[in-house]
This record gives sequence, structure tokens and C-alpha cells, in this order.
Amino acid sequence: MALTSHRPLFPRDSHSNDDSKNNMSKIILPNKKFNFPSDFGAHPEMAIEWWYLTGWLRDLDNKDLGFQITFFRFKTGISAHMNKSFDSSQIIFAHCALSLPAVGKLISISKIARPGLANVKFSNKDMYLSFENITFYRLKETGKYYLMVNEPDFSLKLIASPPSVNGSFLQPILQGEKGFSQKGPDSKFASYYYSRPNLITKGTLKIKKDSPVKGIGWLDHEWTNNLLMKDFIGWDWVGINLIGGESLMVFRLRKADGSTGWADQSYFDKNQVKRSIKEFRKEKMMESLIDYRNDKVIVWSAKRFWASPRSTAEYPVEQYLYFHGKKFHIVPLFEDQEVDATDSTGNFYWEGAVKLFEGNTEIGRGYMELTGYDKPLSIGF
Amino acid sequence: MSLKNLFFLALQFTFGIFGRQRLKWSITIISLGISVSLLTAVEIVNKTVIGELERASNVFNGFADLNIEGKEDYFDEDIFNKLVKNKIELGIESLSPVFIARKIDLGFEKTIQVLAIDIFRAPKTTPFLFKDLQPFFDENEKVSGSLSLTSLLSKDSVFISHDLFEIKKGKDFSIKTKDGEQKLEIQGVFKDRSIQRLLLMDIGNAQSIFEMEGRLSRIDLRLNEGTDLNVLKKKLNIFFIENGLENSIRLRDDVSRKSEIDELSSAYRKNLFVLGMTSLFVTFFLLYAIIELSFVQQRRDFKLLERLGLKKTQFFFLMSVQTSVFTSIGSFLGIFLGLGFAIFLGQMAIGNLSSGLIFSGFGELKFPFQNLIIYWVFGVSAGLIASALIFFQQEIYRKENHLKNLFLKSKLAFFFFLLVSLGILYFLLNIGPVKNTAFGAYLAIFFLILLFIVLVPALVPVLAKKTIPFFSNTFTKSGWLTLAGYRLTSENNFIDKNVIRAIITSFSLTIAMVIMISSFRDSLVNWLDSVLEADLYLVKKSNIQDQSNIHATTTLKKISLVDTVQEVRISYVDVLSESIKVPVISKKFEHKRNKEVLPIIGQAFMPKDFGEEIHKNRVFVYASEGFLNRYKLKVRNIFALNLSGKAYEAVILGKYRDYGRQYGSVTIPSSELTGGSIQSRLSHYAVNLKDKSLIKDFFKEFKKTTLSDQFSVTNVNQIKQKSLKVFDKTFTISYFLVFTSLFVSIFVVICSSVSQVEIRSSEFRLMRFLGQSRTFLIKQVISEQIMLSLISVIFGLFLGFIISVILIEVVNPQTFFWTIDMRIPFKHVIFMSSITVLSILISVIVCFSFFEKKSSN
Repeated sequence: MALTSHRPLFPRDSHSNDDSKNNMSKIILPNKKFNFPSDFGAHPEMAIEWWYLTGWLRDLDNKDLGFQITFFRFKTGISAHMNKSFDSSQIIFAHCALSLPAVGKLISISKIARPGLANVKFSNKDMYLSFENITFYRLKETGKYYLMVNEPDFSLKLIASPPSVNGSFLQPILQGEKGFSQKGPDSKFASYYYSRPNLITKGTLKIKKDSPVKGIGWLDHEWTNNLLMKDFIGWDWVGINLIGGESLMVFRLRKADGSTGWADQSYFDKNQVKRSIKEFRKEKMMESLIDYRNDKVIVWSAKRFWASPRSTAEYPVEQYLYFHGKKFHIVPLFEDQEVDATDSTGNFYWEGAVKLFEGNTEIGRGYMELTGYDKPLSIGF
Repeated sequence: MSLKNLFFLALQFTFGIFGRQRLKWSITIISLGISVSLLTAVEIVNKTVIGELERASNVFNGFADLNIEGKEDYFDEDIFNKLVKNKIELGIESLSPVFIARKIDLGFEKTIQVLAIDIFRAPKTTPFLFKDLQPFFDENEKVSGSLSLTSLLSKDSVFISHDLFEIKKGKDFSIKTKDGEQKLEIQGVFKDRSIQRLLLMDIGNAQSIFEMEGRLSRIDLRLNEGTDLNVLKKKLNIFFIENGLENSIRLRDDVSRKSEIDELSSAYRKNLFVLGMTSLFVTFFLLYAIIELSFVQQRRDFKLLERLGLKKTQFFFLMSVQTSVFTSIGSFLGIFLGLGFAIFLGQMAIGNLSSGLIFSGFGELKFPFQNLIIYWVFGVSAGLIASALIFFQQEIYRKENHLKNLFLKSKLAFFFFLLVSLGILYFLLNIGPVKNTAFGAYLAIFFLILLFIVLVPALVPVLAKKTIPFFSNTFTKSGWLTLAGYRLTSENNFIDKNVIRAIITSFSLTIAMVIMISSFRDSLVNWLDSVLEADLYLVKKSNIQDQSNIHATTTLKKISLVDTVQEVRISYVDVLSESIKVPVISKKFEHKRNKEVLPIIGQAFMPKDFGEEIHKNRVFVYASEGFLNRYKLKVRNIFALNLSGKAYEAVILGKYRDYGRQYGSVTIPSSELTGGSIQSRLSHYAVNLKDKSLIKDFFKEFKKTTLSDQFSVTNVNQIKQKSLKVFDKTFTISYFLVFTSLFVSIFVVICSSVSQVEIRSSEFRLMRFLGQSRTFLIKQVISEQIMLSLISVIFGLFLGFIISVILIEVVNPQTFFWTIDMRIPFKHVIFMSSITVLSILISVIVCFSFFEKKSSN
């Protein structure tokens, strides 16, 4: 899951013609038959879409760091006209951030533009996204993902390979019900959502000097027309690559009073076969502690808040996840991993590298996203 | 006497004098006030206008760290892609593309500019632009809601400048597009009132509306922290050369923008300042005359004080305090009058004063307090200098007499004096401009005036003594004429001397300005006559792609009434890397017809005169005098001309006049450009109709074509009328200063007359006692004044003529870079002279009658 939001640039009730309203009201339906590689690519007929690659890397000095690159695509509702340099029917946002413990805050870039000028483009045939000096694509021939970021603050070149079994890459995992991820009690609010966890990632990072890096990544791709119900103000999301090669994704949608309005989770084994959350417990916990009473509910509980000096938002950067009576502990790489996207999507959010602990044992690493803490989210154009 | 006591005595003395000489000192205070007010108003207007210009320019340029602009208006947007690709190496943080459409006709009185930005990139690169935007209007067109830039994405959405908002009320805005008329939806307004006639649009929409997809006008840059601007400029220049773009691109930063504004407005500002100073200079003579009169009338008081033991220095102090009090009040009054005048100009008329040539609007007035204090000091100093001069007048008179005697006794000495003066004049006139100000010429004018006011009062009695005997018969017949004539021969008549000085100074300056302005106007009319050779001119309403030109020419030729169609194209080149772009106009004509096509001044040569030097990279051009002056070139010189990447050696065949472009232009016959490879912009079409064809019939036919939406048509008379209207508006402030100068001069005469009648009261009483009639006395006084004023006016005219020659031949080329043909407007001159003489007479008669009434009472 990744973030888009409200900003003065994009008021929800702003200029949108009938076409866009119709699009926004077109609900998506379950039981979609995913068609790869075209579903790796963009779906410009849909209102919102994003590709989201996160992960942990280790550099030459054995230091850990986090990275995140997100491409958002918005359909504006303005009909595309002949000017191909400024195609106002779509807007592309690109966010890119490095979490460096030594720096103590993110080094981030955020950009916004229409497709056209300066290499801002997307493809609907396969995944190909570019924004000025950032290019992120999948090569059909190799099945791998390639990321190239060349910005004043840093440059990053990565190749991310999906996990393979017997020489073949594993297919994307479909979140929710076969890729239909419901985002509230009303099934009209949902997205098509697949993930590619445990991407074996290696490449080069240059901040002051070049350093080879390698690590594990996670890719999400989601698209929809109706994402967020009116009652919900934001979400907490976490995607963890577990040490044994499994993957865990948990999210909840929050109401204004802080309560959980909707939640979902998924657990896939190392062969990317979906397992029930009960099975996750079984593998990781002593049988004696099993308590099935809270089978369907994952409880999020903040252990520690961090107040941002920029946005003044208070983020629960360290959280406990309770399910089946057992406590899991999410610990950030460091506190200040707040993204300032006020000049693109218009808000602040926390998007950071985290570790997952069971007791004192680290069982996985991934990314956590905390949105709607500076102001309620409002998605749409 | 202690200083404190002396000061209080001086104050008491001053108030006492004011009680006795209310009229004189009131006139002095008012006159000084008017002069200082002019300086003050000019200063405030200048500061405000420059501030506004800078601000408007900066807002228009988004306060970007650096602008990349197309030399020829538009350039390919691929440059933007290349820059983005290399932005890390160049040290650029962000870039934003800009498209500008100029002279767009929305059906208002004036055309507007469209500034089209990329709403996604501009907030990062030029955030300042958005601070001035006020968001949506509600149904009642009041400001409400929150700012939404994405609303600009819609094709009909625009933000407008505040002046357009005022015009807009209750009206619809629409813009002509290829698909017909596009109604515009106003999303918001610029708060800043210095931004005028501006429409902000999305770049994608603007490019489509004006059919300029793929073309940009500008790229705004924001630099990375730590990027050195000069280093970046060097890198960019290398980058442009590497990419073959050096001829289509130029860079502008904050400094070059400021200097461009300064350069464009400096001639106007400096000349206004000089005119203001001229007015103060004229007032100085009024001050001098009145202070001298006043002191003469206080002689008895001074004698008494002298007996009481007042020393010479204490007298000077007394006189200085007295003058300073009045001049301080006058200067204060001037400052406040000036403020009021500036506010009036700002609110009422400033837009028209320069007719939009230099500035078009006026937001918040800027008060340069430091300079206002300086002007106050100027005013007070004028009085103090006058006091000092009078205090040491004995010495001056002695020297004056010495000088006069020297001239009378030795013609050689006189000629030597004249020779030295001419030498000084020659030197001053050859100093040349200092920062586009004709500094030497202004000094020469000042020197000339000084020369006249020293020499003429000294020469008048000498000339009178030599002339009157020739008319002895006439003079003897009329006793009053004899008396009047002999008064002129008096060598120590300080009142008459002051009248002569005041009239010569103010009248000469008035006449000089009248000659200059009417010469300029006549030259402009002649220039328009020679430049406007066709019957009709078609000017683009908006930016049209070059492809449509072929279509336009063909369409025009299809109209049966059209005889010939001439396409005039302009490209802009940088010469010596200056910030001002020089237009290169290409028209179709043969060299042998150069004098028919261009307003050539002097001799024009033919290419064959350079026979053996002709080669393929050599072109033969004509340059405007502005261009030649600016780049210190002459006819027959050769200069490097870089047109669209092709380097030419341009030979100047002739010089022509171009009042339309202050910094000059170059005209080149299109046949000279082999292959027609230069990138240029269509300027206009010149259309000649067939004999006996009527313009109204052409309009009927023209309206049926598709061109009527894209071009506006003007005929020769309309252009002439518009140009002259612009001219008259531009010189409004100069006319005002001319009249102020004349007004102050008349004040001097009135004051002198009042004093004269007062001082000569015993003389007139004696005459009456000796049996002379009132008529005799009136005749005598009138004759005196006629002779005095005629002499002054004649010398004033002579001096005015010399000054106008300097203004026309030296000041104009040095500040405006062009010459004008001198024309003496005899009617105006006679009218002004008559007005001056008449007002002198009326004032004397009124004073005399007043005196008569007073004495009979």
C-alpha cells in the first residue's frame, strides 16, 4: 500500500469533469483475471495507481539502510489533447527516499508532472516508469526490475530479482481475495493489489562515493477507482520479508477517533503459497502459547510515538502487533523517517524501514507506512 | 552679541520682514515649492516606477535564479529535455518550462501578454509566482475558496492580473483559437498590482491554443545550494555550444534583468531629473532677485544695526537665517506638494504619461526619504547661495565692472574671453555620454546660461549707450522714451539686471524645449511618412506558427484588390553579448531602391562599391543610427552578424532612422540571406492595394478570409495617429515642466515690478511734482519694460536656439541614440515670446496702477 493525499493543488472538489466523476464511481469487481505482463504496466483508465518498491540494503561497510521508490499515477478527468508534451489527462508523482541511520533522517526526492516533457512517461504494456532522471522498469526478457535514480543528493542503481524455484521466478502474490483487496466494509472500496516480496536486490549507491549494495526488496502495485471510505482518515501498513523467505503484510484503516475501521493481512510462505495467519503462528510460536480466540483480529498498539518537528504530527513509530494472543514488535531503523511530500502529493507521512521482532528475536525486515497523522487523507482528483 | 541672541534677533527680523514683504516672500516660497515639488514628484515617480518595473519583471520571471531565453522568441522544447538530463552535472535543482504569447488581443483597448507555466514544475522553481495569486472568485466575483492550481489544467482556466479583473467585471473573456472562440474561466487574480495586462495559463493549453506545440519561450532555473551562478553560466554556455544551441539561447539572471530595466528607463528617468533640476535652476534666479530686492529695502535696518555694532559676519548670519527660514518653508511645501503630485500621478494619470512606453502602471508609491531630504537641502541651499552672492555683491559688481571695462577697452580681451568660453564649450560637448547620460552636454548648457547671465546684463548698458544715439531724434521727440532709453544705460540697476537674468534663463530653456519637442514631432511625422510605404499593414494578433505564413501570403494575394504583399520578418541577435536584443529585419527589396524603402540619412552605398570584397559570407545591410551609435560603427564599416548559427560579415551600406527601436535595428534585403536559412519571426505584412481600390472594400473581402481572426489590419493614418498620440502622452511631463519654467519666469517679473514700483516711488512722485502726467509715466514705464523684455527675449531666444541645437544634436544621440531634424516652430516661438512680453507688461501696468492708487490715497 502506498500513499496519495490531499493538497491545495488537488482539492477533492476541484475541477473535474463528468468523465472523471464517472470514472471515480466505476467500482472495481472481485475475481479479476490478472493478465501479466500487461498488469505489470499502467492502467490509465483507472483513477489511481501506484508502484512501490521498498527494501533494506547493506553497503560495503556492512551498514544497513532503507530505500523506497514510489510512482503514483492519477487520472485527472481532463480529456487528453493533442499536446503530447503536456498530457493533462494524467499526473505522475515520483517519491524516492533513502533511510540512512547515520544521517538520522530521510534523504528524499518528490516530483510531480504530466507525462510528456523531460522523460515523464509510463507504459501500459509492461512496467515502465520514468520521471526525468528516475527510471524504474521491468525487463520482460529477464523478468527482473531495474531502478536508476540520478539526483543531486544521491544516485542509486538497483536490479531486483524475484525469488525463484527451480530456476523460474515465482509469480506475484495476489493480495486480498485473489488480488481484490477490499478497503472497507463496503466492497465498493477496494483495489487490485499484487506484491512481489523477497526481491533479491543488488546494485550501487552513490552519495559521496560509489558503494555496492545488496539486500531484499518488496514491490507493491495497486490500482483502483475508489480507495478510501469517507470515515477513514489514514492507514498503518507494514510489509515484512521474513527471515525464512516468507512474507507478511498487515494493514489497517483508521477512523478519526483512532479506532480501526478495517484491517487485513496476508501471509505467504517461501514458495509464495498463501497461508492463513494461523499457520504463521504455528511456525513461529510454541504450541503451548496458541490461543485461537482472536483468530481474525490483529490488534495494533502503539509502543512509542515520535513527534515530527516539521509537520508536528505524532507517529506511532514503534508498534506492537497482537494476534492470537501473541505480541510482535515493530521497531524502526530510526525515528525520523517522515516524508515531506508537500510539494507533490501535498502532505507528510511516515514511510520507514522497520524490523519485526518476536520477543527479542528479529524475525523479519520491511517497511512501515503511517498516513493521515498530520491531517486526514483525502484521495482523488 | 552671543550667537543665541543673534539667532533670536535674526528670527525676529525675519518675521518682521515677512510682515512688510508678504507678497514677495509668499511668491518665493510658492515658486521654490513648485520647483522642489517637481523634483520630489519626479524622484518618487522614478523610484516607484523602477521598483514596480523590477518587481513586475521579477514576478514575470518568477524570481528564478536564472532564465534561459530564446534569442528568437521561441525555441524547441527539446532543450528542456537535454537540460533535465544534465541537471546534476550542471548543478541545477529544478527547471520549469515557460511559454509566453505577446500582444494578444482580447478585445480590450490594450493587448495583453499570456504567461503560460507548467503548474507542476513552476511551484518548485519559481514559488514566488504563486504567492501573489489569489484564489477563486465566487459568483459575485469576490475572492473566496482555496487556491487550486490544478484548476488551470482545464483548457478554459486562467488567472488574471488585477487590472484585467477591474476590466472584466460583468464581461466575458474569450480568446481566439484555431477551433473558434474559447471562453475563459477566471480562476483567480494576481494580488500584486504591478503586474499588468497579464493572463496566466497552463503551458500545455497555451501551446495548443496558439498552435505552438513543442515550442518554449523560456526555461526558469533554480540552482542547487552551493552552485556558483557564474560557473553555471559558463557551463551552460559550453553546454549550448556542444549541443549547437549557442545561437538560439541566451541567459538572463537577476543582475542582467535589473540592468536591462535600468538601461531601458534610464534615458527617460535622467531626462526627467534634469528637467526638474532646470526648474530649480530657474527658481534660483527668482530667489536671487527677491532676496536682493528685499535686502535693498532693508538697507535702513541694516545701517541701524551696523551703528549698533553688528559685524560683517553677523550680517551674513542674519541674512542667511532670514533666507533659510523662507526657503525651508518653501522646500517643505515643495516636498509635500511633490508627494501630492506623485500620488495624483499614481492614481490618475501615470499610465498615460509615458503611454506605456516606459511604464504602464503604478502600485504602491515608494518614498525615497533620503533623496527627499537631499531635495529639501537643494531648495534651502539655493537660497543660501543666493544670499551669499548678494552679500558679496560689491565684490561681484566690482569684478563685473572690471570685466565690462576690460571688454570695452580691449576688443582683444573680449575675443580672448569668447575664445576661452568656446573652448570650454567645445570640450564639454565632446565629453561624451556617461552611463547614457549626456553629462557634458548638460554641463555645456549650464555653462552657456551662466555665460549669458553674466555677459548680457553687463553688455546691455554698453549696447544701449552705443545704440540710443542713433535714434536720438525719435527719443528727443518723446521725453518718456528718452527717460526709458537712458534707464537701460544705467550700469547699477540691479532690478533690471535680475529681470534680464530671469527672463533669459527661463525663456531660453522654455524655447529650447519647445524647439526640441516640435523638431522631434516633425521628424517623427516625416519618419512615419517614409517608413509607412504600403497602404495597409497586417499585424499578427497572436503567435502564429511559421507554416501559416505561406497560407497568409497566398490568401492575401487571392483578394482581387491586392496589388502586392510584402512579408517583413524579424530575428533578434545579441551584439557584444549585451542584454538588449537587436532586431534584424529582413524585407524583400533591391539595393537600388534603398532610399524608397528606408528613411536613409546621408549617403547610402551600393554593394558594387565593395566589388572585389564580395564573398558568400558577406551580406550588405543597412543599420539604424541607434545601432551605429550604440556599437560605435559607421557606414561602410563591417561587423560580425550571427544569424541562426550562420556567421556573416555584414557591410553597412547606409544609415537610416528608426524611432521605433531606441537601441537600433539592422535591415537586410531578404535576397542577401542565401537559402533563407535564418530563423525569424513574422513581424507584419505590408499590403499595397491596386489603384482606385478602396480600403473599406478590402476590409469586406478580408473579413471573409480565415486571416481576419489571426491578423489585425491598420491603415497608414491609424498608425500615424496612434504614434503621435503616444508621442504627445510621452512628452506630457515635459510640457508641464516647460510651462512651470515659464510660470516661474513670470513670477520673477511680477516680483521685480512690484519692487521696482515700490523702490521708484519717490522717483515717480518727483516726476509728478515736476508736472509730468500719469500717462507720461505709464508710457515711460511701458517703454522701459518693452525694451527690457524685448532685449531679454531676444537674448533668451538666441540662447534657447543654441541650447536646442545642443539638445537635438548632442543630448538626443547620446541618450536616445537617434538624431532628429531641427525645425523651429516659428508660430510657437512667436506665441511664447508674445506671451512673455505681454505678461511682463501686464504685471508692470498692474503694479504701477496699484502704486498710483496707493499714492493718491
